Amino acid sequence: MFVSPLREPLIQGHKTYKQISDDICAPVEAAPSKAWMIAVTLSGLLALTGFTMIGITITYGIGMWGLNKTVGWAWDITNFVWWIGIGHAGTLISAILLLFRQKWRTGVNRSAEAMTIFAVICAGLFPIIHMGRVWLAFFIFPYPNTRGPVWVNFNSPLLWDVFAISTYFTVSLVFWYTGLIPDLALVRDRTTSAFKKRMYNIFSFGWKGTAKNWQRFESISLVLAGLSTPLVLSVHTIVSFDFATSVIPGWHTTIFPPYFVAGAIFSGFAMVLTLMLVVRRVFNLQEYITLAHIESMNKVIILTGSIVGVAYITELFTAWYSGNQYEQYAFLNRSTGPYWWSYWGMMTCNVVSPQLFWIKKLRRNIVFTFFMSIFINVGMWFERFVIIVTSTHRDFIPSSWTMYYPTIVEIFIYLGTIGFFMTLFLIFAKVAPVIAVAEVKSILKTSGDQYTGPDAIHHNDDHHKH
Amino acid sequence: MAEKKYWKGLEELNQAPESAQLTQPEFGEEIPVEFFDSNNDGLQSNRRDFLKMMGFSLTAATVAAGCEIPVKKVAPYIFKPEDVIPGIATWYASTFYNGGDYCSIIVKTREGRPIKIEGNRDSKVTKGGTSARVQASVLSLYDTARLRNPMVKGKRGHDNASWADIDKAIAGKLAANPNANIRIVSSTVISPSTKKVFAAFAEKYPNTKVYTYDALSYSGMLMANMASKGKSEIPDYHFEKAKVIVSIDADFLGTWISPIEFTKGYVATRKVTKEKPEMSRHYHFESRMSLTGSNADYRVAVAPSELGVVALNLLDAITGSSTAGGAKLKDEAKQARLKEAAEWLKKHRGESLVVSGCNDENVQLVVNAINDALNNYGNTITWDCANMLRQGSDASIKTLIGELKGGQVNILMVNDCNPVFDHPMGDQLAEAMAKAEMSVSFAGSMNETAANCTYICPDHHFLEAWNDAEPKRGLYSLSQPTIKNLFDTRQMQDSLLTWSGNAMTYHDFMVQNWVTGPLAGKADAMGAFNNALQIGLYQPENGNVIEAVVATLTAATEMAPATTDVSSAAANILGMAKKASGVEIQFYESIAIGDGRYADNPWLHELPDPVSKITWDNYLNVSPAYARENKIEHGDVVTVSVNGKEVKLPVAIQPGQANNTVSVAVGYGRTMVGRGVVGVGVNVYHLLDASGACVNYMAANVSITNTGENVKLAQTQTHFSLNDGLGQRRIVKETTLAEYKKSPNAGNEDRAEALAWKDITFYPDYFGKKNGFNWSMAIDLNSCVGCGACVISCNAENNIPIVGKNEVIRSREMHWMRIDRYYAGTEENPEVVYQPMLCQHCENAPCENVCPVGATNHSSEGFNQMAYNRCIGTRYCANNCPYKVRRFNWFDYGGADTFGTMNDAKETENRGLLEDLTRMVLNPDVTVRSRGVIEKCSFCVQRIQEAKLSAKKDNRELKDGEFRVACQSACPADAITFGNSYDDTSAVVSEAKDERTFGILEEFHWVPSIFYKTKVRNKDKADHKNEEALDIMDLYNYK
Repeated sequence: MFVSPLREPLIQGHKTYKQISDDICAPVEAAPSKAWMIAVTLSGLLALTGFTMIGITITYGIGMWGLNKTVGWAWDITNFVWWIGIGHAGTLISAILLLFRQKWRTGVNRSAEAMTIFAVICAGLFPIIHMGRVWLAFFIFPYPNTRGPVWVNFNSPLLWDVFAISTYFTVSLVFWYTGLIPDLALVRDRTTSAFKKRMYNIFSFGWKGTAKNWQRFESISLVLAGLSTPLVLSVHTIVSFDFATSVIPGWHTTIFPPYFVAGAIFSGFAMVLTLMLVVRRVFNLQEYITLAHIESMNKVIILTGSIVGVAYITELFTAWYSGNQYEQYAFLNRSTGPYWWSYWGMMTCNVVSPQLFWIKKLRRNIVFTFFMSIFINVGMWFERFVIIVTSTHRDFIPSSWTMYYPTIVEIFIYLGTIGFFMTLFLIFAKVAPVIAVAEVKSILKTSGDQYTGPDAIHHNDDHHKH
Repeated sequence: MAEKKYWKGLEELNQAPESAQLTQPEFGEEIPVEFFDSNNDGLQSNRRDFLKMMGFSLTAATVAAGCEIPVKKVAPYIFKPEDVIPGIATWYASTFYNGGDYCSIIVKTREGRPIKIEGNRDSKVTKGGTSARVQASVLSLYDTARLRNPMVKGKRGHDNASWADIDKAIAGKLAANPNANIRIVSSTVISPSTKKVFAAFAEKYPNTKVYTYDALSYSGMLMANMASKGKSEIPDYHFEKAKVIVSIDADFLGTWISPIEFTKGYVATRKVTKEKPEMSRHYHFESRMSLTGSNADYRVAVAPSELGVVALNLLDAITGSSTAGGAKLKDEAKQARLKEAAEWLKKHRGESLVVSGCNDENVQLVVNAINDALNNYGNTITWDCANMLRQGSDASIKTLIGELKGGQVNILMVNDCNPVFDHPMGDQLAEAMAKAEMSVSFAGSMNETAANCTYICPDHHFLEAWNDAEPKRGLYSLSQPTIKNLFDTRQMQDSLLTWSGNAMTYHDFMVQNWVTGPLAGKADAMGAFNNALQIGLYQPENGNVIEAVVATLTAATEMAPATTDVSSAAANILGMAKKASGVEIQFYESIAIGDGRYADNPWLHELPDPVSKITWDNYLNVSPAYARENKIEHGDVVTVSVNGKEVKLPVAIQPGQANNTVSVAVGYGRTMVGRGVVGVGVNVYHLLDASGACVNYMAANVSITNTGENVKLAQTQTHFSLNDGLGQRRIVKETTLAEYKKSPNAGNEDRAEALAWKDITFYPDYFGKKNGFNWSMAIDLNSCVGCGACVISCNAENNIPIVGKNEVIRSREMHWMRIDRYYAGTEENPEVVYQPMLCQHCENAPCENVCPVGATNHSSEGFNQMAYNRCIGTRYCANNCPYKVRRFNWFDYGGADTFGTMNDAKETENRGLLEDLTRMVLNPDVTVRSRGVIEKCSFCVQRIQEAKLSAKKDNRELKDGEFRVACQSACPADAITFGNSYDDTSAVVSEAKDERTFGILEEFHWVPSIFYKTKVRNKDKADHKNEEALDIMDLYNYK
């Protein structure tokens, strides 16, 4: 396959296929390190605290949170949208980047997909626990019943969310797991422990690596990629409908679908970067997740960050141009009202700081990228908080204007989901290869540094001819 | 040409039967899609359906079996009481009277429980109006803090006793010394029969004296009337006849004497129509922002010491005298306004009214002189039906304390009052009471005075008692029990009759009193009594000529007027005004808590003060300018030192409070009152100066020091201006009378645009079909005075829970109906507008389409309705409600018992509805909402349904006005109209057609079913400030 000589090699260290297997399977095969044990304990404890707080909420009522008559949603739905947004990178990398033939996705797609699954699990938690009567949550499913039957309200964007998220989760999970099968079989084949062999055999569905296996694997991957592609756009579009179809100034905005999708990819990539920068270091995978990978992702961040920035400014323009006093006030209040810090926090983190990635040096600076990825995730959390809380806390009727302050319960539920997410990711990183071995091997001949780039020792045949 | 066929084997070519089968689809069975179609009776199940159904049933059974449903036992009637039909309400006419507050009422009982109070529209006094206090009184019947039996003082507090023991002890004491000095101290008694009981008691024990005092005293007025009119009474004020009203600190719409009656009269002069575009002009002089002041056309903020100067200047301007001696209001603009008020008064002689709330004989004398000069006596002020609601004298408690200290009192009896708490010399009284040989309290629940008494003989709640009342001379009303006494209590009158050796019950005594008294001449006196009892009223046309049932012991005797000269009064007023310096304070009665006797009622504690919108507290009102100068913030706790005594109070910044003056409500800080309401606010009674002839509710030279502590005030509204900095939000519309005369849609011109779009819809015939019902409401902003009666009425009707102070601080009050209050203009003297706000029942409701489970939907009769059982509590509807009227059950406020009563352990106040006794007040027609569901105004659907059913049973059409919704029926101002908007003859349709009518945020096309009518102010356009923003948010720490 032709590769432009301008492309940087994506696998470094003159790797052979064997080395690739060895390197990527090493963390799975080694005994858990002390650092891993500490990390998993801490994040597990955090998750446990979060679940305790959820227990308290369900026992005593949503009153344990800081919500009130005017602000009916705050951290709950902010966290929900934030996590869903983070969960966007996985599918984007697996499906859309596949269509665009971006080879660098092979280094990160496995973790990104895993992150997607875990983020969607965390996200899905919030719409459930934010219900006043969570024990009746099954009411949101359209199932035949003896009460008439009573059906769900198909007009409600919240119902669309149920379908959108459950579909997205299912497809992502299947996609991720399908991709894992050959790698799980690889681990099975390499391990010496009978127990592990048995377990990995079960989880790899008895993968044999025959041509038929690979042929079916390829076709299912293709089908799933096809299914996932529209989902990348649909999920956050539908999440944005929660707000866009309402009447509250600051929510009632037609720009929301593209703006939310761009924001989701933006935050998803930031989260992938946060995780990968740690993983490549801890698991010694710098040769597979290279600066080229990081730079590519940073480029996506500039693009989506700029889209988001344009959207923010468009919103301001629209408010002014609408001549609608309520709309105008909503934006005035965002920028100068009591929650000004969240608006300017959002502007700084999401619009101003990513622009620094235009500078190549910064784009390729690992420390800078790491802090930037954290920044973006903070900024994107602020964005959802700004949209949700500052719009409702002062809407049409000034008599009802009030303030919202979070309680310790809400804060720990949020931190708890981060702990839960980290716990799941750490377990994943320990039991399955964090990089798709098979896919990386597939690009070795075109993007390995022994074949391309300045250190190349083997050269493509057609290259030789010149 | 035949199609070319390829064959794979001979079997296929030869069409062997097995092979033909193989070419059929393997899983080709038809899927019975019509399986779930209910019309399909012939069920065609197959293996797949069987598996599907089995899986589903198993899961469903597991889910259902996993939830234990609590078993509740019900007890059916074995012998059904004759007049109780389960599910059908029984109504009794009765009378509410509580320490000077009077209302003629009808009481709704369900299965023998009184659950709701409505105004009696036949009454000539209250005319069907009610107040928040009246509405809330039904809750106090079920107060867990009520005493359940008589008590006797033991070594540690009071011990339970039996009536036999108590009677033995007290009657024995009385028999031992019939000439004992007995003092009965009581708040104003308006019951003729009770007075007769006192008289009978006094006959038996000749050294008995009855001391009447009112905790919030009108003594100064009674003294002035005695001096200038020869009558120690309060006259009959006819607000409805007044074209110009000048009030000098009389809060006649909120607390002054008979606010329900006065609101009716006042609002009658404020109802403007195209045909009759006239209304009264109301000038108000006061230092604090009162409910009445906030409704005035022109309000002038003056210091308390200047109120007398205002009266003198008015007198001078009207009569040309010079009693003020050059004293003027310091501010020239205010003085000019005063002159203007005088000019208006002069133009309307005989049809104007000047009233004053000062408990100062001197000011009242001047006010009487003004009314005299204006020829108002005999026109807007008459004596025929003199007001009996305040008869107390400030001298009485002082005399009593003197006598007690001197050992001249053997037996002290305390009826319907709490002087230890609410008298400035309460602590001295408590000490002196110990000197009496015996003290008896008739308190129905423990209070500060009863705690000092030897015996407590708890009186019935008024809903359990027989009584009569004469609120105005010649106009009587009756009380009858609506439930048997819940506890082992006994009516005070019965106790006195028993102790005076009279074997009669008070009921018989009262009946005899009536039959031999006012009804003596009638052919069938007993029948006439029963008639009166049935309607709760006896209001003969020539009522004034009937002699009072019995001469009251404390009644005023008529005397020749001593003086009409006001020169000495003027000298006193000017002397006082000159002495006053520094910061001045005024003590006032709050709308909800009164003199403190309502402090046991959580509904009233949670009723936001109409002006400040603060609940569950009293606080020091300071002006924004004062706060700014002294660096005091909203909620700062300050030490207030008045008359040498100190209290710590939180500060509330109150626009309109005269600068350099402060004010605080009395009645708070009760220490012996039911659980959950103890320790609400701070008692300030002891700061009052009682050294003069009358208790002085004002003081000067107040020092205020900031303690540095800051507390959160439980305020339900924290933003006050409709101007958000970008212009006035068109939520309230206003105009002036002159503009209205020019054009009836003045101030409402922009409605045309909204109306042009109103009937646009995607759905054919959506607005065209007009059969059946479509409920709609109209609220006249010009009538609404903001008193809050509707809020409490709604609480009672719809089982709305109390949430407590902490939850109000978190903005979680549950009121379905609230009254929004907005300011405009300057912070020194803002214009105020009240806007009752409830679910607007939008035809295109934003809440309806967002609910994922369809728990809130539209009824065929135009309501936006809630199916509580279906609600899962996503709160999406509340977020999407533009009017923010939806309320969420954050905790188990209502005690609907989802999982027992699990609430945040820190919450103590919200227990109100969790007690079995208190739950007896619940309306069985309205669901008690569980934790985690949304609730909101239902347009009292239960009342509509009841009225529809009764019309159906009679086989007739439902008539307009046949029933009233709870807020509408409670309103003393008749501001609310409700009816069927498909009925072109209904009142609500004619309201909707009025040029003043508008819908809130109508331009967004949510098509609200509630209409408002513009507020019309009788003021000059130049003074109308409704577009101006009130920018004081920098002083509020709501950031």
